[in-house]
Amino acid sequence: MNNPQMPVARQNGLVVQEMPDEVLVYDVDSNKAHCLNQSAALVWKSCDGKNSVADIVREFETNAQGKVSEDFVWLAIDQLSEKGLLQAQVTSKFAGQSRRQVLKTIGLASIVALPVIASLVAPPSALAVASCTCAVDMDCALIMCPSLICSTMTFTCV
Amino acid sequence: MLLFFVVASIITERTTQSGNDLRWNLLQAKALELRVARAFALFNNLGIQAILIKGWAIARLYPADKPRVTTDIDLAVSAKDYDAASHIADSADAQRLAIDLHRELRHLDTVEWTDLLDNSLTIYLDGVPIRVLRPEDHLRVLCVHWLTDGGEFKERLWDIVYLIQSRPSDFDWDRCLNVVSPVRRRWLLCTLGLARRYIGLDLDGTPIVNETRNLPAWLIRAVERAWASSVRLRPLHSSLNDRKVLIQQIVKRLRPNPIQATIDMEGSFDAKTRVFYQIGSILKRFGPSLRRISGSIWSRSR
Repeated sequence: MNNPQMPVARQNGLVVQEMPDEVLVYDVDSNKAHCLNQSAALVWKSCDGKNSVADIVREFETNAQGKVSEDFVWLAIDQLSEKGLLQAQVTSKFAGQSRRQVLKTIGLASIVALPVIASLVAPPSALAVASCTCAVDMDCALIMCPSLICSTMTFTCV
Repeated sequence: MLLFFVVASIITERTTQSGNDLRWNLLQAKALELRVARAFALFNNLGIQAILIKGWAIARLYPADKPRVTTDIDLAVSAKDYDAASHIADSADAQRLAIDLHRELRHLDTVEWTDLLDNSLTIYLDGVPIRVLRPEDHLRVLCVHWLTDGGEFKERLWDIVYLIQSRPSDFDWDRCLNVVSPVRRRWLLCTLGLARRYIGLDLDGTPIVNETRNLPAWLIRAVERAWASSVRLRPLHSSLNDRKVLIQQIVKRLRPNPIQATIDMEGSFDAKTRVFYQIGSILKRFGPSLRRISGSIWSRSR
């Protein structure tokens, strides 16, 4: 059973591309792509099911060379959970507060960039793909077609 | 400081369109690599020698900031391995890989399969050996494939540009052009000529530069008309469920694409009229088209 205090990064069904300043993640199951900035990516990598939030804070401070609070890590965990990048969802620590309020509170105490996970959308060029061939709906998500329904008449994603 | 972080966070969350597209395409490329490696692992495990054509085999040559959008995995296998390969491609393991299986290269090339296989290259992807055609052979296949599509996909001329740009210093033009018939040789030269004319392919210093300058007028008219049209050619049997699309496709076929018709009839890219090739192509395609359409109607009614 997953302990919400020791979150586990999801690994199955994800395509991960490491970039110099960020990590890109494609969720094959939901056909959604995300861009994790360095802060969010560092927290995500530390979510191994053994690290507590306090441990993640320590790891983060070692890697990012800057002091952060537990709330800072929770902000990342909240977003990771919301985007389905953790094995089990965690209850938001900031329930009832707006993102702006949270950012304001944490930003005051932070000297490193706040963790941010941005959603990516299929570009227009992907919409013009000539052959999104498929057998079942899942294929459309897997081959990252912008349309998710597989037409069994045309065997293309429509 | 606070203001900076808050504003930066909000701005970062809305990534710019170009940044978004680049990231999306990078992820797509990575996803494709994993699928290609998985597909080859399946075939390699059963001792089937497959060759990857088009797709990732050419996408890997594109610059990182201009990635090629690729969806399916075109794998060619020998005729004797085709049934076993089909079994793999249809298996549950391969269901999500979108493998498009080819029985050798059929109309795409006339060089013997064993020759292509003997000359193929192995690239390691995620630790898995991936077999691709040597550049000289791949260039032929890309050109003929582009022509088979009636030259409709202008952007796919970049495949040819990037392959030529990344060719090795010992690229063998003789191996590329002179192992096929003079008719096919001319197809290749014309395709290169179109890439040169419309995309700016640099052929200076190559032994073929002069030969690619002489493009028939009908070919230029045909590609310009195809690129100006919003209706792309698609199989008739796949248009049955949409009356508007079906009518568009029938109208498009009333005057068959002259490039496609010429390729279909193994015709020459000379200056003569295309009419006879177009008539021949209609007759040649009629039977198979009818079979596919009735097959689709039959499967719909079941």
